[in-house]
Formats: sequence, C-alpha cells, structure tokens
Amino acid sequence: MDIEKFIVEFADQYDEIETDGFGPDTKFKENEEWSSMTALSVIAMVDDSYSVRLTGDDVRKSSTIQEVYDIVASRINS
Amino acid sequence: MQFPLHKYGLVFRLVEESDAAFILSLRTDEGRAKHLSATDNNLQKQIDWIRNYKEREKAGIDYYVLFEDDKQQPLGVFRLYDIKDKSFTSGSWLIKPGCNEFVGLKSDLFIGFLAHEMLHLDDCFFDVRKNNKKVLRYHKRFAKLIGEDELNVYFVMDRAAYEQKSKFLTSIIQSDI
Amino acid sequence: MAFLDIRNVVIKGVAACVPKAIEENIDIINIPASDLEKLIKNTGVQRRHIIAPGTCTSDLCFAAAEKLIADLKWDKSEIEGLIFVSQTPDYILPATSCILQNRLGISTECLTLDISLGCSGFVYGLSTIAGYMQSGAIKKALLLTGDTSSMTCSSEDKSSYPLFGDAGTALALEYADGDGGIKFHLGTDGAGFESIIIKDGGYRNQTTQSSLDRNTVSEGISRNNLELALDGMDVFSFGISKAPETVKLLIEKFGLEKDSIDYFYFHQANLMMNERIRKKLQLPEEKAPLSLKDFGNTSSASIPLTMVTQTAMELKNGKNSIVACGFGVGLSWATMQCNTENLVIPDLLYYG
Repeated sequence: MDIEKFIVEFADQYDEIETDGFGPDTKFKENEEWSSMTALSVIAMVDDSYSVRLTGDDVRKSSTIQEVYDIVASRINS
Repeated sequence: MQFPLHKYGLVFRLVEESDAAFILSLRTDEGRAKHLSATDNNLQKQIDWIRNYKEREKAGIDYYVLFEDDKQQPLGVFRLYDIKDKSFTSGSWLIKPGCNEFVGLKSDLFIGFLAHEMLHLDDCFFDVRKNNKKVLRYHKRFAKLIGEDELNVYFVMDRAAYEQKSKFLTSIIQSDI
Repeated sequence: MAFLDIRNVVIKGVAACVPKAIEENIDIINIPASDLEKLIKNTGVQRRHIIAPGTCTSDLCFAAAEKLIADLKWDKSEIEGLIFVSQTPDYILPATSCILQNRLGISTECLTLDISLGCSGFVYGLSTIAGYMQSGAIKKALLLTGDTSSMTCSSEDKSSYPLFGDAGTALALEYADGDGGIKFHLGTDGAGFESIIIKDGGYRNQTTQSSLDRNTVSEGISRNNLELALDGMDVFSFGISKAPETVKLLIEKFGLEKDSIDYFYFHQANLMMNERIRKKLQLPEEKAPLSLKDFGNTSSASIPLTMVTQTAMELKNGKNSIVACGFGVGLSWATMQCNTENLVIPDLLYYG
C-alpha cells in the first residue's frame, strides 16, 4: 500500500475545495466541504480500492489522512 | 405503521404544523438547500403546505419525516412521496448544519427501512441534480441509472439494491446502533 | 438500614423492547378531550406502546435478551443466572424465569428467580443478581425486567390508563474480579400497599363474578377489581419525598460526589413527579433524562428503557458514573450507583 496513491484517492472525494496541498498530515475534516457525504465517499473509496470496511467510529476518531491510512493498512491483509 | 420510531440512536416522527419554522430555516439556508426547489421565506405558506401534506399523509401517499436526536432537538427532514403501486420516490432531504457526520447516513438508512420494511414498497425512483456531484456518486454506487437530461440524473433502486445498500451502511454505523 | 456494597460485578450491556403499536393519548376515546390535554401536560406522556392481547412481558424481554446476547457475543452456555422482575408474568405459576431459561436456550445449570416488584423492581433485581454474582461462582447473568401495564388498567380510568406503557428490557452482568461494584440503598413501606393495587385475582380476594363488576369511583374513573387502582395523591407525596431521600442517603453513606455522577435515571412515574424530584435534588435537566413522552410509565422497565432511548451514545462511548432510583408499588424503593464503561446497547427493539 502506498500513501501517495492513497492521498490522491482520498483527495478525489472532494469536489469543491482545492486539494493540491493534501498530504499525510492534512486534517481532512477541517475544511468547508467535509460532510457526511464526504465521509461516506471516503468509506466507499476504501471499500472499492482496498476491500477494507471502515466504520463510522474509525472516521470519527481520525483527524489526519495518515491516521486513516494506518487503519486501512492494518486491516488490509487481516 | 406508527411513529415516532427510535432507530439508529435517532427519533423519527411525522412532520407537524409546529415544525414549520424549523423546516423553513433549513429550506432557506442557501448552502443547504441549493439542490432543492426554491422556497419562499414565508412561515404561513409553510404551515399551509404542511396542512395540505397531512391530507396526503392520511391517504398514505406521502410521508414527511423529521428526525431528532435523543435530546429531542430536530436535526433534519426527508420526504417519501408519490407512493403508487409498489413504487415511490424520496427527496426534500435536509440536515441541520453542524450535525454529527453520520446523521445523514442514518436518515438515509431509515428512508429505506420505512419504504421497504414498513410500507413494503419495492422500487424507488428518484432524481439528483447533475451539479450535486457527491450525492450523485453516492447513488451511483447503489442504484441503477435510468436516464438523464440537462438538469438531472434519474435512478431506480429496487429491493435487492436496497438490501445491499442497507447492509453496507449498517456495517459502517455498527458501533452507533 | 439496608445499604449494600456489592463488589466485583459490572454491567456489560442493556437492551429494551417495546410493542410496535402506539396509542396516542390525545386519541383516547373514553376520556373527555379537555381532560386529556391537561393530563398530557401534567404527566408528560404523549403516547404509549401497547401490547396486543396474547403477548406477554416475557416476549418483550426475550427479544431484548436475544439481541443483547448476540451483540455481546456471549456464549449462552456461560449464562448461569437469570432473574425476571415483573408483575405481569405469563402464568400464576410456574415462574416465568423458568420458561425464559428454556426459551433462551440457556444451560440448565442456571439459577432462575421471579421477583414481584414494579417501579423499584429494576434496582431490586439488580441488587439480587449482583449479590448472587459477587463471590465469582456465577460469571455471567441476565436481569430481565418489564411489565405490560396496559393490560391491567381500565380504559375508562383517567388516573391510570393514559399513564402506563408496555416494555421489556434485558441487562447483562459479568463478574469482574477486583473491579467494579454496585452500591445500593433499599427500602420498603408496606403500610402503603393499597396505594397501587389490583384487589382481586390473588388469594386474599379470589376472582369471583363480582370481580368483573364495573365500579365508578369518580368522574372519569371506572374500573373493576381485576384492574389496577392507583391512588395518585398517595403515590405523588410518597414519590416526591422518598425518591430524593433515598438518593441523598446513598450519596451520603458512600461519600459519593454528586457532581461527578453523569446520569440520574429515575423511575419514570410522571412528569410532575419527576420534575419535582429532580428539582429537590438540584439536578440539571440533562443529568436526569426522561423517556415518558414516547413510552409513558413502563414500571420496572422504565430505567433501562431510559438508558437505551435517551443516553445510548454516551453510555456506549466511554466511562460514566450512573445512579438509578426506582420507587412505587409496594410501597418500595431502591437506589443504586455504579460505574459503566463502553456498554453494549442495541437499538431499541420493536415487537410485533
């Protein structure tokens, strides 16, 4: 699993804001666009691309992209 | 079928005339309601609308549902309408700004539960504005695209698709329910 | 005084089940509309879930227990205790808890017991099962509480009928060596036994033809002797004095810090009474949640039902110090305090 690729995929879930500056430490909820729909888009993306099921709790407890990445990475082969 | 229903940590009930001010505040919030048809900022009109709606509710062809948190604070509304034979449509979905991000998902789950489990309906026909990208992507995941025009994309979701969607969404909020 | 300090027992989860059917109080036909509006305002009860004839409290408790056991991922063979608290059992005999043991598929190596208490029954039942468990001989147990009071009230009795709703609940407990514990204060005043009573049908006054005679007690209050008679005044004055007193006694006895308690779950008697009790104890509204509005007074189910419907999110996520206080029929009262952590709480279940 590749964090750079993950960040691009993550950023793809945003339609309204500029995401060029997204990196591992980006606090992905701290922008105007973040909403339940974005959360769901991220969960769906992870399901599609990595066959990992994130829960609402996972998303609630994470604040940076790195944290989400770590959760996905830890479940990817388990 | 009886309301209010406590589900997913929320309370779902039918809209009453006394909810007019809350609904108006959602519908006239520019950011929130930009994908819905325009609403006059007129409380009396909203009350009249709800009064008319109550007749359709009695006839069993329209359900306007409001959801609250467990402190009885209203969070949002949606409508299930055009109920004919075994089909229906849903829309007018609005959520108060600043809600927990999974409230939307729970209310969407409830729409499916109400339609398929309680009212025993099968097919949901609905449309989404083309510029509402994220919602469009969300529905494409579960529903079948059946057409489009300049403004909207048209979908249908049958019982099998509903069941698949419900399973997926429930697994996400597992820890909340 | 009956104070208990039971160690090594923790609550793991709680579930509640109500009948699907709702009766709106505003639609009750046998009570004048003007009376109804006042009643709804004073009692705070707008609607109640009502069981269909033929369904019992045990059916509701069974559904709650099945779901709770599944969500806890408990192995049923490990459940060694089951207590059923209710005044609406399946039969006069045998005890409903025996039937539930078999129906739930729990091992025959399981002690079961019925307790006949109402409003105070949840806390009393908790003290009993926790007492059984504290030595560690029993590791997992269930407390099932509830009533179908709608079946015992006369629909022509405005003093009781609009007040009571039906519900059944399940609470899961585990032995936790050196950890946890529940503190109790328990009391009784049998001098008030007639304040809430069903006069006939037991062995003091067996059922006869005259048990079914309808007596008009006063305007809007008509019932027979197999239906519940409630002396509202007696119960009101008892509740508003005894409930704050028992909570205070528990707090003082065990040196608890009132402000550090997150929730006070009172038996849901009626809004006037509950508000008076809350104010007497100077508790903020958010610390004394209410489930009266949608469910009414659900007897021994009222405390767990309030936990499930009003504070599930908070109880499921993190640690809480909770107090629960039941008071009523008997007259009987009981208060407990314990700490909870990440409880398992399924969504409210609907029966039927």
